[in-house]
Amino acid sequence: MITFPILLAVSLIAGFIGSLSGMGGGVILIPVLTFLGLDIKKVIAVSIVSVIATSSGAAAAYVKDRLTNLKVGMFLEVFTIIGGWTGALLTVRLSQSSLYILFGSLLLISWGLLLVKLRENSSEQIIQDKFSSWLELEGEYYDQALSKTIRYKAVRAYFGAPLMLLAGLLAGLLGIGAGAVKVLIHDLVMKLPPKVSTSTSNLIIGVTALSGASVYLAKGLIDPGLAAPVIVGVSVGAFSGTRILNRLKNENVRRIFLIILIVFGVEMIIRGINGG
Amino acid sequence: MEEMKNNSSHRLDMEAIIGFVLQTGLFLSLGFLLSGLGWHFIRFGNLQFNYQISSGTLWGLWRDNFHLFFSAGWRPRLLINMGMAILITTPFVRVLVSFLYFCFIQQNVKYTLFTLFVLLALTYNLI
Repeated sequence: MITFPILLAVSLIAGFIGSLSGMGGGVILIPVLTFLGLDIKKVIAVSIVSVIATSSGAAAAYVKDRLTNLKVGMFLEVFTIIGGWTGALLTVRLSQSSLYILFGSLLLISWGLLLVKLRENSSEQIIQDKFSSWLELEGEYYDQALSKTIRYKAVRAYFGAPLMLLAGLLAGLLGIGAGAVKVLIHDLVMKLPPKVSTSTSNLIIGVTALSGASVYLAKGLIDPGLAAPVIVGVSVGAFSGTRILNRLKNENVRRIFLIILIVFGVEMIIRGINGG
Repeated sequence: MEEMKNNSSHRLDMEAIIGFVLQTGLFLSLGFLLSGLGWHFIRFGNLQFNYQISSGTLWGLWRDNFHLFFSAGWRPRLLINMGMAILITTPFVRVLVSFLYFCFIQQNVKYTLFTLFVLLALTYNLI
């Protein structure tokens, strides 16, 4: 039987590593708790509630720093909320084996994406399309590192929006924030600056998680005995992670996370193939 | 120039309010959860909970919490449930605030409709 101290410790570590890597606590939490014998659907349900906590904390800080584009966030939430709700509905209907395999596959895809250096600074001239212009998807923020105001315009909202449906689906299905997917969409598709991508993604994650959580609440899958220590542990862990992030080398954080992702990814897939 | 100043001050107020809503919701939630855990430990000597949330919806959870509160059903689980209800409600309140801002302060029809859609979708799921 899994005890409170173990739950709390796992959640603390998950929140800590998740915040260091920017991929959130669910990616660590779900494999470890299921390995310890907990039902994957209940773990997914609790994980998505904890995502609301970590997202709220991060988003509050970024919004106050004026990094978040509220219009981009609100527009894309129209799509992620549908995806999140649909994903959660799928979870309650899918078998445990399917969920293990899906989650393991996601971890391996994340491992692949993390290996590749995707966020390169582009000097291309951004010409905003008419749709994105009509949506008023532009803004500015003061970049403290560069000591100057950065002005930007989002593009290809017609493409980014349906992709956010997919991101929401992943989030609701697997009990994660899917922040990495959302940031990629903001960054690569909509050409938002990295800091705006990350901060806006954090804002969106909370609402996406809420739409998924509503389904799990309705199905009685949110166990308060699990949820309470997980929410507290992940929140404290994430907060601690942000405090020490600057002291760690990016490369070391990335290496540790690459190992974790591939080990967990393979382990989850094997478990799924073996029937959960 | 006047419009830029107005836009700047609106932007400032909106972001400050949203940041406040998110932070307050999180800290209140954590406060209730930690209090509930502490009370349970003092009362029962352990941190194992043996109950399920059967409210079905967020609205049901709030209704059950208020019922427990006003019927003097004070137990540690009331604080735990309150913490979870507050946490789950926080993004909803953030969207509500955004809707009110786009509708009444910015008077932006497009974003009033977008936020209204999100708000209605969340309300449908949570009630």
